[in-house]
Amino acid sequence: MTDFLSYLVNGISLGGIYALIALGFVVVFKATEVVNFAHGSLLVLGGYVIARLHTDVPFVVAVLAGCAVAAVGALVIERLYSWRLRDSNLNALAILTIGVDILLITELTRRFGPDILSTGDPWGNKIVDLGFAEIAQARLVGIGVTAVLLAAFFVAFKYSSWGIAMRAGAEDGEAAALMGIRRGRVTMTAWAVAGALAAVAAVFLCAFPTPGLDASVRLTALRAFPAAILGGLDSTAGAVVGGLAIGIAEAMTSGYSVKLAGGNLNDVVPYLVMLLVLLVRPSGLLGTKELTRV
Amino acid sequence: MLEVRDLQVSYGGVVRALRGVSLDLPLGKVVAVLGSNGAGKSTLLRTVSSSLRLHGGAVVGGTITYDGRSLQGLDAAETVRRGIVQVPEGRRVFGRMTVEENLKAGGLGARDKSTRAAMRERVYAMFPVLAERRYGRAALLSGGEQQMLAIGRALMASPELLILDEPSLGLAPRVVGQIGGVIRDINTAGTSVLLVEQNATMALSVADIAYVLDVGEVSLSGSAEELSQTDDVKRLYLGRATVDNGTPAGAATADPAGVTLSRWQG
Repeated sequence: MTDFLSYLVNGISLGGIYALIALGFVVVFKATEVVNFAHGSLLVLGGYVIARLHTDVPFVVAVLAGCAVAAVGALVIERLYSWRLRDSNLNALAILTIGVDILLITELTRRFGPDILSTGDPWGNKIVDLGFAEIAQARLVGIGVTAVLLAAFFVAFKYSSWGIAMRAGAEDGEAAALMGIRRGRVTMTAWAVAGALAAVAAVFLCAFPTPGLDASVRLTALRAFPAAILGGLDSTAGAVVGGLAIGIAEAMTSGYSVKLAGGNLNDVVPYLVMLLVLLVRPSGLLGTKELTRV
Repeated sequence: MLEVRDLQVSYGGVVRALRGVSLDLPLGKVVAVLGSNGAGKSTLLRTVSSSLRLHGGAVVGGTITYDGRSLQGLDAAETVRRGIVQVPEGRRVFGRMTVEENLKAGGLGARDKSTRAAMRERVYAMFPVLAERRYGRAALLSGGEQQMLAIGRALMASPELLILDEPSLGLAPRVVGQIGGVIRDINTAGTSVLLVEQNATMALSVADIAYVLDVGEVSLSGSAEELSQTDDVKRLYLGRATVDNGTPAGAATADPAGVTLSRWQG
């Protein structure tokens, strides 16, 4: 039972991080109707900036700088697209994000070399005993930070002008334009928010007990992609549900060392869970089903 | 006022939808544009509201000015900030959002942000049914309620010129009458209205001036009163018997929101 609770708490922590990343996929998809395949590389970029800066400036400043750089990186992709490709089809943007992903990760891999960097987080390898479970302090802080960020996001999405403009534009772009909503700004904000969230996720994804930051973290980050899909690619709440589902499933299979065909099941469990959910609900757990009154 | 001069619009460089349309909308008036499907009514509105580009259309000739300044080259959002707001055809409310959120979305284009809350209360006062359903999803409103929401949403931007594209489409006759009343109220409160309609009975009952479009050209224009007396309009749009075909067939048109079809006379 103690094992179970410990795995559960770890799973929730991991799931929260996945939720932050998945939310980035969803926000960009709602704004531009495209999957940003460069999201994982942007996350590594944000983490890299934090890792390089933290020795010279306070950790919080380094994190803010990492968020800013990742946000700008996302904006560059968005601007590249709307500068020349806006009137072509969306596949062009999807391919563009794949291209940027390859360029960015290649350059980052070169910069990392054989090193595994630390983001310099202040929690180190401390362990907190919750009584019913033991958890790395970084993971515990991760749960708190994730919860705060997600809550702030949802309040903004529900009540702010940006959130209303974003949802109106996602639902009917032409009607939104006729109401005077400037989609360009809304879309740019969406990409920037996605990039910044990815950089925050990088901090917790690389903190103890994971060894640290190198280019392979991109693959870990991409595990949030099945989370976004299974929650419903156009549902912000779905990103959180999907993230938690994948995080808990991964922590459980890893904790109990479940094997599948000789390998560790936890490596493939995000994709397995996604497939199972999609078989039952093709548009994801909370994805859009048509809501009309006849 | 809105001045359209010799406007020519084509889609994809191929299809010529407007072939030299001229139209005037004096300040504070209601102008109705009538015409059958494909006459170019929606194209004309899209040009005024600068949403033409979203449909792959482009102005290839002529001018369009509002208050003496050209509207060409603006995007839809900038046009809203010039005081021109269009209610799209088919209502297009944001179905997954609540009634109140729809109105807030409409207020995002307002030039004066400070009046938005007051404006929302005015819209609720004008359409009490929206106030009752303010936290309900827009998709669950009836067709008539959705049209009221679409109009209320457009009013949130405090337009000087309100454009309506077929507001009576698919609505019950009684509701069409209500919409006609709403348009009159909005105009009385000082907003100019450009109205495109297939329901000529309703349109001519609220309009001061009317134009008839036919395959991209203005075939008739004049005061709404004059126009509703001409034989062509009677025959084509009002379903009233004319002297030519002898038999009176228009008894049903006594209802201002009434049916506009008549049978072919043998």
